[in-house]
Amino acid sequence: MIHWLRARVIDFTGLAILCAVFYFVFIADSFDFPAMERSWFIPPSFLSLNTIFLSIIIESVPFVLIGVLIAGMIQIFVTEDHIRRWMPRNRFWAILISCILGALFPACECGIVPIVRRLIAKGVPVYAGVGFLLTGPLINPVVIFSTYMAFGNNAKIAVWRMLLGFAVALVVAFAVSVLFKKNQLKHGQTIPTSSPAAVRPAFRTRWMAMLHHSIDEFFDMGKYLMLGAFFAAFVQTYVPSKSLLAIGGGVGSSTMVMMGLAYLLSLCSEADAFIGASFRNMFPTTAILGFLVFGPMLDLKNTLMMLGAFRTQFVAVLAVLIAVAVFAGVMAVHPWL
Amino acid sequence: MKFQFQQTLKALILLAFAGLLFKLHYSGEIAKYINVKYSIWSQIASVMFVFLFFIQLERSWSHRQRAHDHAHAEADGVDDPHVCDHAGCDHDHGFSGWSLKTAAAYAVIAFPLITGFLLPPKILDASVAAKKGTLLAQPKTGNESAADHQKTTLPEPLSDRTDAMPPNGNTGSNRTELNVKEPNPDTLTDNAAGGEAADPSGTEAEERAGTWEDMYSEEIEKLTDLPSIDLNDQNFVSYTDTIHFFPEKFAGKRIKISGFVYKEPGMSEEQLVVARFIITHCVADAGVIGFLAKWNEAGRLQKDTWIEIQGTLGVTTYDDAEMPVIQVDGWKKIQAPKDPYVYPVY
Repeated sequence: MIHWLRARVIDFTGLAILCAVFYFVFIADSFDFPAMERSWFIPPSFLSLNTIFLSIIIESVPFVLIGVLIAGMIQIFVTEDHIRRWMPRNRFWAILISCILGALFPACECGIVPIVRRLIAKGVPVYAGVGFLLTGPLINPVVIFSTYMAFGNNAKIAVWRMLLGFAVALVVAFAVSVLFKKNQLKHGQTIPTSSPAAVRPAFRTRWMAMLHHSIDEFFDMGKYLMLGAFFAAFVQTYVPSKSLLAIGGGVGSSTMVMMGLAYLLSLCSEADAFIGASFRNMFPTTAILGFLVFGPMLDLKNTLMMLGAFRTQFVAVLAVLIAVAVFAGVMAVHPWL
Repeated sequence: MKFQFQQTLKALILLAFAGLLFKLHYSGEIAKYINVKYSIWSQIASVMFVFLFFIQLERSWSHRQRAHDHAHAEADGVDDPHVCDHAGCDHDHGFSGWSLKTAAAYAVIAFPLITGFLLPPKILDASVAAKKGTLLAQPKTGNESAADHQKTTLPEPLSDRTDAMPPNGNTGSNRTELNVKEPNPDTLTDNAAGGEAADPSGTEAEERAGTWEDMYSEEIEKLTDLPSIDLNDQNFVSYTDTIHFFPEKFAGKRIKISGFVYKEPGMSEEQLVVARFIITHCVADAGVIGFLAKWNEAGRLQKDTWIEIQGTLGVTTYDDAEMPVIQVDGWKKIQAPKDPYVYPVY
């Protein structure tokens, strides 16, 4: 009997969890007191905040899951030797290739952080990782298409967004290659010269390990996603964007305002084009381009996730580099807009 | 067999995420969070969570048989030493002990689950609109910014035809003299055809106005051919966008529109905005769109009241920006629609 119980102890644990979740999904609500009464002790503005917070999580969680699964695959199936063989020796080539790979790889700005972290841990140089990190969320078919649509079926803004984004990524990645030598990961591990896994474990074991890794990665990155989403929702509920918009006057200051807005709103790169377009009749196109290029590269939500993966000093320098590069970039292309 | 509390907790959290997403879809409440057009993604996520739950469940009890693996693994905080080499494995595998930090991490992850299961979603209302402020085709913000806006929103007289810089462009000293020039209100209507008020002057601006106009020409034609413009959930976004871009093309047209009442501090007693929230992906990217409406009973209406109005389109300036206005001649209160949001049409 005891033996039988032991053999099935996992099943019973699972069943218990299943029951607990079932309770919340199907039953808990009927015991609930009406929403009106609840708002007595929970202010309505907190309910708004919570709704925005949850919506950000619902929107981003599928892509974070895809991100952690890919990160898990990299962890288990890609070895340091692979990276050494694939990565061009030349720094410029490495940066260019990583930016192109990022452009080909569809990802969002939160899903890409675990992937890049894993790549860098596997020995990808930090500058190449940054190139990939910056172009991944910005340059992909979904973003191009939504930008094209949001600006009234006009390709001009979409094309500028991609070109400028690519240029900024190259510049920032290059600057990182000059400024930082080590891998800049939070725990600062070094890359071992040889893989300890000399004997290849069975295929199933490797798959399980990959999935276990993905789960741990989800919990690792997830807490930063939750915090970032909560801050973004807080800003949206309690900070009037008016106070930001009031600063915007000239091209320079309105571009800064739009970049600040992109940072605080933390919109997904697939969804921000429409919001950007809505500022058309208020700000010059230059400022809107700044919003569109900066947002996918850096925002409140992904800064927190990056802080979870990289050293604080590195994240701070990277943020400044991106901001300066984007600002200089849009100012440089201003005469053609 | 050793019970792994943290691993079990992870399994519970994974399944709870699946459960929360399932509940929102099942009850239809998902529409209060995201644009249902993209609901397939959260459904996929829900299935992935269930799958990961079953994977994670295996870790809830550690096997004694593999004790020699784990003796090493647990010491290093690594669960599978064969495949997880120490180099790349920098995260917590949940086999380490409890600390305040790990407890806080689980609390943060579980937070959306708790609020998601226990708190009802809230439809965005006028107070959120006030924070969101000036999004799509919405009146320029409060008076404090009017002075700042003035220079950029009013097109400069054709003083510097070849210069693409806006009047107060701050990049060159040769342009500083433009800053001093007071914008001439007379030119407002001249350049208004462009509709792109925020943009620079001269030939380039006109060309650009032309491009915008080309983009919208089909829509403009369609709208001007209509005897009266009747906005509904489907056409709300594209019609509003077009009319706001080219207000003077629709002056005198009859219009019917419904939305919630939204007011700004700078507005007069007779003014209000009939607004809707536009959702691209999720309520976080919601923006306010709508029309400025004007009639003598407007002051009586409380914000967040849903109304349907009829009237004639005109052009007005609000905070020095040109925009369409509806001179209302008939209105009624209505029930808030089942789906209060509008969505961009792709």
